[in-house]
Amino acid sequence: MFPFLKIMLRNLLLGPSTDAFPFAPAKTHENFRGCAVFDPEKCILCGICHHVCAAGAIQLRPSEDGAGMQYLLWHNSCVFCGMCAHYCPTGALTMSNNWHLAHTGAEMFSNCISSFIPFGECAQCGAKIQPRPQAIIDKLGVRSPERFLLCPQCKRQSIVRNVAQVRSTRRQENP
Amino acid sequence: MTNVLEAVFAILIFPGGLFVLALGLLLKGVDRKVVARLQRRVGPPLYQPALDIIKLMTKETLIPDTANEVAFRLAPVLGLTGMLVTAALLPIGGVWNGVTGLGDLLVLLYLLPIPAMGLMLAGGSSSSPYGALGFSREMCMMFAYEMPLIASFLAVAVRVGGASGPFLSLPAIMDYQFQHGPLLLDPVMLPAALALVLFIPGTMGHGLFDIPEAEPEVIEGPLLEYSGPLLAVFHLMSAVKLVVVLELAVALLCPNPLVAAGGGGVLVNLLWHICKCLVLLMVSVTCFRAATGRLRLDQGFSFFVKYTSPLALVSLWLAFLLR
Amino acid sequence: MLQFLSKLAARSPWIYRINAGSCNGCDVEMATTALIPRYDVERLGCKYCGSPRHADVVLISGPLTLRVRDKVLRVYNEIPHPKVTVAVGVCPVSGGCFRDGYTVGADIDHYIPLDVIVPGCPPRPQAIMEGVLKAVEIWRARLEESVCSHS
Repeated sequence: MFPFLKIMLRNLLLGPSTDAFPFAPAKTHENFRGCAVFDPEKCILCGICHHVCAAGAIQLRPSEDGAGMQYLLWHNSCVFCGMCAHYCPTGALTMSNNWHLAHTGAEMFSNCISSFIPFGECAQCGAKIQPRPQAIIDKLGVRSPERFLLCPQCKRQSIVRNVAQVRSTRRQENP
Repeated sequence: MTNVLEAVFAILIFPGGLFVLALGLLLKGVDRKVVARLQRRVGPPLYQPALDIIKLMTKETLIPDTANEVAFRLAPVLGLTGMLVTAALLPIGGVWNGVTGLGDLLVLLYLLPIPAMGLMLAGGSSSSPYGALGFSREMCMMFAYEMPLIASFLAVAVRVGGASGPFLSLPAIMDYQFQHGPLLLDPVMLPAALALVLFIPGTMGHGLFDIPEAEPEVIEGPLLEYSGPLLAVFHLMSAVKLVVVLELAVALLCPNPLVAAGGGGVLVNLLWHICKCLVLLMVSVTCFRAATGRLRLDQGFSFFVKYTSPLALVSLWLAFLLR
Repeated sequence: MLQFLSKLAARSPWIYRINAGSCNGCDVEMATTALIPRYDVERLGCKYCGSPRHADVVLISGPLTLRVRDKVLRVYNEIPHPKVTVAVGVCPVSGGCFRDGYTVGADIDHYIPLDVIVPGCPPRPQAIMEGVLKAVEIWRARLEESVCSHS
């Protein structure tokens, strides 16, 4: 009879189980998905994050002078699904466990990641290509480092030139 | 003339007025703190109810266009004054014997429903459908809990009066208990004591009987349209009402002072009285509130009719037989 | 003296929730914040109240759908001054994943000034508490202002 009396007595003896949060930092799991963190040094402007973003929080705006892209990630739209970080080929986007995002209404339009990413230059013709930071060259461009730095057109030409070279040498070997 | 002055002092300063307001807010704070503790929380500071009152004083007062403004403004004031007068009539064992010639159980029976009347007036005049619902719920509950109250009053009166007919005067009831020991220890009066203890959460609207002001159902019922200082007056009213019902139960069941009056004895007795109020608060309000949910209106009504009233009636019958 | 009183007054923020067509995720987090002993907002003096007339801090969740827009604005106008608004979740401020939907009215800040924004989908309870504390600071400033202008 009256099992709640036992529970109340136990609660009295055990004492509060409240976190000290507002007066002390709260415990956060390291895998907690908080706000996204962007590393402009690694971004190659492939746009996959913009493509997979369910909430439309990521915007890529070409700058007016054509020198690069403005990369914008609005924390006030982000739903922390983590798809961008999952699909990012270079690891430029990661999810941190930082959830201290509360801000005043005046900061509404400044609460975003905004960074300007300049285009790279083709090593041969100087045309604008996606940026080729050294970290990415080491990671993605290991197979043919010199071709990795070319614009698509120069890349095509170099491939054609290679193929033609191979064919002509074969013809010389087996006439 | 001195009698009038005495009454004014009693209503405004002690034991009504300021003393009761301060004690009521403190008791509410203790209640909230202990409920939090029982639910394994830290809870607000003890002076939180006072902070709430100060906060409400700074807020804007909104009055609905369709409300009856006079009744709307009058309702909380009516409830609070009624309770302050009641507090002045209640004697405190070894400290205060009530205003001479005024304190008697019949007057109390008339005065005790005044806060409920205030709430009903508030609900009725606010022109809100939820206010009207709260009004009807408050009235139903009042009919339910007045019955055991009257029965236990009568039981006490008959028991105290003995062969010479029922005593309705509170000082006489206290004198009887000073001579014969508290009624709480009288086996005949035990059912009536239990009924009184159950009456307290019923009239305060706590725990099982949080029916008229049920927040998720009728959105705080009669208080729905109140804001700012008027709401603060309602909160003060409920604080004073808490003290009044606790003091009433203490006066009827166990008013015995700890030491003889005179000198520092008055202060000791006052503290002793507050301790008794605290214990009663813990039993009948805090633990009750922390452990129970809300009943439906019909369940709450039949609880008082089926269980609480018969308890008080049993005491009345026994007291009548043994007189 | 009045300054001191307004400082005291700001220690009892009563919270009212408005659901402006939310998916219920943020509402569950708000209920968690209110009810679970681990977070215990009552220790900060907060109390969830049922009537908009008693509220000081308004928590709004949801993208303000067309259906509830007028009702939300009506309830918001019922809240006595001074009041502070907290947008819980990303929906009120940007529409979140419902943005540009045919049922979504517009950003709430076209209608209601948002004082504090707690982004998240849903934000965790501690984040809501953080937002409420920020709101209380804004509220205190407003109280002091209004008290000084009265006297």
